[in-house]
Amino acid sequence: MTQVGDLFSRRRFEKRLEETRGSLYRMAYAWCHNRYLAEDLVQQTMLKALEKRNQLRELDRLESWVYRILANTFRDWHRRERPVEPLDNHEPVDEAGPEQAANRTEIVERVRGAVAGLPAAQRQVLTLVDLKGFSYAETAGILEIPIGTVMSRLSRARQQLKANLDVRPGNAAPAVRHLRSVK
Amino acid sequence: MTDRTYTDETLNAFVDGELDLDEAVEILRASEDNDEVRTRLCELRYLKDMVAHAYSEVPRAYNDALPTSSRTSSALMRSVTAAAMVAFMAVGIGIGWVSHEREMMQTVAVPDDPVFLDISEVFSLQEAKSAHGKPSSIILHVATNDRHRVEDALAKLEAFVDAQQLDQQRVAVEIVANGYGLDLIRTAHTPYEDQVKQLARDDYVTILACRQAVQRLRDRGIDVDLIPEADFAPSALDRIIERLREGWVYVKV
Repeated sequence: MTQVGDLFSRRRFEKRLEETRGSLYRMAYAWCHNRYLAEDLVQQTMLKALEKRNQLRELDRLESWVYRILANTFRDWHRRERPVEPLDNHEPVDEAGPEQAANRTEIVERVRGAVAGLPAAQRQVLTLVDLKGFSYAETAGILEIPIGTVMSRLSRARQQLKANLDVRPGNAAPAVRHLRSVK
Repeated sequence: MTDRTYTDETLNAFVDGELDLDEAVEILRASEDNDEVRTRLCELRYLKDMVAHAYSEVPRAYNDALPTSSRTSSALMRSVTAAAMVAFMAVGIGIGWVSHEREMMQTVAVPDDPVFLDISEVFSLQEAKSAHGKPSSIILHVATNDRHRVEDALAKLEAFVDAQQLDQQRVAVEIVANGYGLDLIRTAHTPYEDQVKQLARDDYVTILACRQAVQRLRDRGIDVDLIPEADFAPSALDRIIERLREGWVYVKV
């Protein structure tokens, strides 16, 4: 590649990388529920992405590539340091005064609490799919797990959320039909 | 009536848009005829929406004074992107980083070819010099208290500093500690106090503690006393980016 082409490519990479920062932070927060740690995870992720820039062959794959770095960074932290700090409980989610905002805050806190109570592996799958809208295949690639594991973790995560949030009690199951294929 | 003809995985896949057309149509038809399937789909959809909603706005780490409603993640992202775009136009190349202390978005430029080296290779004066064709200063990021890694780094750094005492062009080394790396310069924790103090006597060696990391420990009620030779950087990672922008070599212990 020419120097000009290389420079152009680098600028596009950095622009695209920067554009992922907000959603990366949201994801990191959903994984650890600690804003300081989330910020550190994101900064480490972006630093690593800059460092490993040459490993990314296609710019279109940047997003899932960066999320994979985030997942690895989170996994390394989790292995190394285990959660020691309390969750960001009772954060003011909305500063508006109306009753509606109070109800909304309560719901948000309940949901975050329920998500935080999930095993980390389930939490990651759930949030990659629900917050970011990654496909099962992309989620499997980011977390480096089989697609069937994505599906089973997601299913267990939602079952537990449903129970914890009292959405509706589940029922027993007779005959089961399995999914034929996933896109 | 209960109906588990369809597994949770299947209905999840439907809600997540993962089924092919035939299967999706089948589920839709089943939901028309079967209250149980319809209810389960509604619950899953509701859960999915609730989770997405719960994190549509999340608290930021260092801008607590600002109302969250005016700093929604999407708005924040827009401001980051806008700031980054301005920086790209202004300096040609750049990347935005949050400036925590100033509670505003700041963009900084990194060099075209930031240098990240492994510790095993960086403490070769030749490596530092060849990186940019002239002596490159080194920022040494200590984020661990792993004894083996810290001792290895200190030994190499001491040898490096000794080796260049007679050199005409000295290479500056900045040690930035955060996380568990702070133990290196905490008086009650470091077993290397004499070594660190000896290094700090060299005019070309600077020792910095991440103020945010120190504050975080103090917020948790932990006493943090640093050796007097250590100064503060507002944020270790912002400092690293700043040095990278200036062409320094980055080394992580």
